[in-house]
Amino acid sequence: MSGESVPLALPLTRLGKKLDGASTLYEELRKPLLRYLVCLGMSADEAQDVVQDAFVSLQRHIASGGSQENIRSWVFRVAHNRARNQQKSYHRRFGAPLDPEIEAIPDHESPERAVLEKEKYRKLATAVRTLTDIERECLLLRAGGLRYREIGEVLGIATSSVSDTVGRAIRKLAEKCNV
Amino acid sequence: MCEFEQQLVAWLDHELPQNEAAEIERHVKGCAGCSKLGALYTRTSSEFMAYCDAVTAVDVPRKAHWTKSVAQATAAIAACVALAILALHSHERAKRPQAQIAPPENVTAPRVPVETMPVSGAPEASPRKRKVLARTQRRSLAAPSPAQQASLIPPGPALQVTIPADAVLPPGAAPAGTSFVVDFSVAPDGSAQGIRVRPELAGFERRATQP
Repeated sequence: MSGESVPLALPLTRLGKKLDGASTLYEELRKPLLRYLVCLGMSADEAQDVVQDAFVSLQRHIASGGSQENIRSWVFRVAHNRARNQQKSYHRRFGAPLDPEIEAIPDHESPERAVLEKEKYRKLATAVRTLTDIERECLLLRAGGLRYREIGEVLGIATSSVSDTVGRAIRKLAEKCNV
Repeated sequence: MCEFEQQLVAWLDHELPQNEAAEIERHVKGCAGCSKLGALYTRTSSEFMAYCDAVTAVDVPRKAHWTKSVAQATAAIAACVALAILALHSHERAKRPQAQIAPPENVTAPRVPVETMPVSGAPEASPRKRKVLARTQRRSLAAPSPAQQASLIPPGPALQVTIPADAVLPPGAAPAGTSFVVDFSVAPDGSAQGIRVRPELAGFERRATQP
């Protein structure tokens, strides 16, 4: 053997770089993931647990040499499936009314603007409740920054279906809210 | 209804292939209805994002909230215990007569300057020995040590303070009728010892024996 450096450290370095990528992804996706899960109807505690579990799974996936293609939709899919499993185990329906939360929205502006803002959110909350589960999930994943193809990977539907569903959901909201 | 209306949202999201996107862009520039709808869908998307942000911001993590409540409760209980100890200590001191600190038994002689102290039947001690002797005698003539002092003053009684949970926790954080019972005793130096805090729920009694 020639006088090359021992390659033992290389896999560890590669792994370290990969895990660095995971932490960057964590910083990028943590808030959108939390928003997605909370708006689906989970409490903040449950949402944080699900997000942590998703990223632990990601680290294991990376460490075991798993594919890193479409990693964003991979993380969202893991979080989405865990949230669904929790929903089944607790027999709770996602998309429960969010009206009580609206009252707690802090008043950042003048009282008149705060009242108008809360009224607008109340209308939105009512309109969101009229959406189907798939329409709500597509909109929330789109709000999380995912492309239609990625949304399709998370929900297990075709990209063309995502496009139709998102369009339909936005039209419904626009019609009901008179924005 | 325009033929392109169904694709407006996908066009706004830049999800259409390039040739289709270019065609819709040309159409929207010339169609007032589609232009208006495009603006409406953009506004709706923004409002929806703002609504999601507002809802997410409101939902305070309950664990952190609880942790904060527990820390506040612990600090409040510690403050109540400290106040109770201070109040009791000053009350006890006012009641009890000042303890006379008796000198230790092994010292009977009055204080004598070291230089004139007689040394009977013994050869004259070296200067170093005399210094050590003097130091020892001075020590024995000095005020009693804290341990000696402690043995002269009787220990304080065991005390119990009951603090209602409502006084230290936010409303609704604990079941109604919950209180914290603090057992402790006051050491002679005024410090609290053997502090034990336990919750107590009204209407329930601790079982004396195992079922």
